[in-house]
Amino acid sequence: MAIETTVRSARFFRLLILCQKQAERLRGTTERLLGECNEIDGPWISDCLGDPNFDDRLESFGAKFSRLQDMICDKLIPAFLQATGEKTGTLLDNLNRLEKFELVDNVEDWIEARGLRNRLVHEYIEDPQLLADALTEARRFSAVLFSTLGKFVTATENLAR
Amino acid sequence: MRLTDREIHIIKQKTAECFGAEAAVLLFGSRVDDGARGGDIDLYIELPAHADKVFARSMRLYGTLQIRLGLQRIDIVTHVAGQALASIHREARATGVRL
Repeated sequence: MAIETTVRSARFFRLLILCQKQAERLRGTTERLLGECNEIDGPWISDCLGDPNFDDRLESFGAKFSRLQDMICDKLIPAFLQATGEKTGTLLDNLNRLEKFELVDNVEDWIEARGLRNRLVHEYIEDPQLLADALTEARRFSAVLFSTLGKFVTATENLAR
Repeated sequence: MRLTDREIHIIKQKTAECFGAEAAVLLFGSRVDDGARGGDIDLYIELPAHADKVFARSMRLYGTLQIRLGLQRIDIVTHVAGQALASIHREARATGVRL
């Protein structure tokens, strides 16, 4: 293996470990924020808002969710493509390449989910129902991010050898 | 206003596709200011009282515009007629320019 390829692989694995740690933090915050709540709706949000603990956890969730999304989209995905000798381009180009490898199921879903960050900020989104919708969607997309990390681990087992 | 004719056309067309012809879209924030530079594309969308699935439609519009306009920073704020106005809605109405 050429040295350059080894360096690229090492960078990818370093980023993968960082993303896995960030994913664990997001899982913990999600658990503390939502607990047993399966159906997040407007009335539930209205009840919770104003509780300083909830407000802090909501802010933490938004920050951790956005950071994991950024790390995967802006760093890990380009690093994966470089480590496997693929071209890199815009996020859209990169996601389309990953779709071909079956590491990403739905490119539009990934692009849409980039819009969630502004919608997870209570000071900005004052309507409890919109905030509930945004949290529901962010929880769903978190699972997509976690599962994608798992797929990267499987896909790169050959790189590690 | 710092949007090209093409960008305005795409925003109006995709807003109508996602929310229907009754939706009115305004540009607000720094892009209204011809003297400023850069900045997010802040869109305010006024919807009729019978609008449904507002969140899901907003997400779809965001994704479509990202793809069509080339991954820009876009922020979409919606307001359904008859609902309370938040401060962001008041700001958008006061300073926005209808596309």
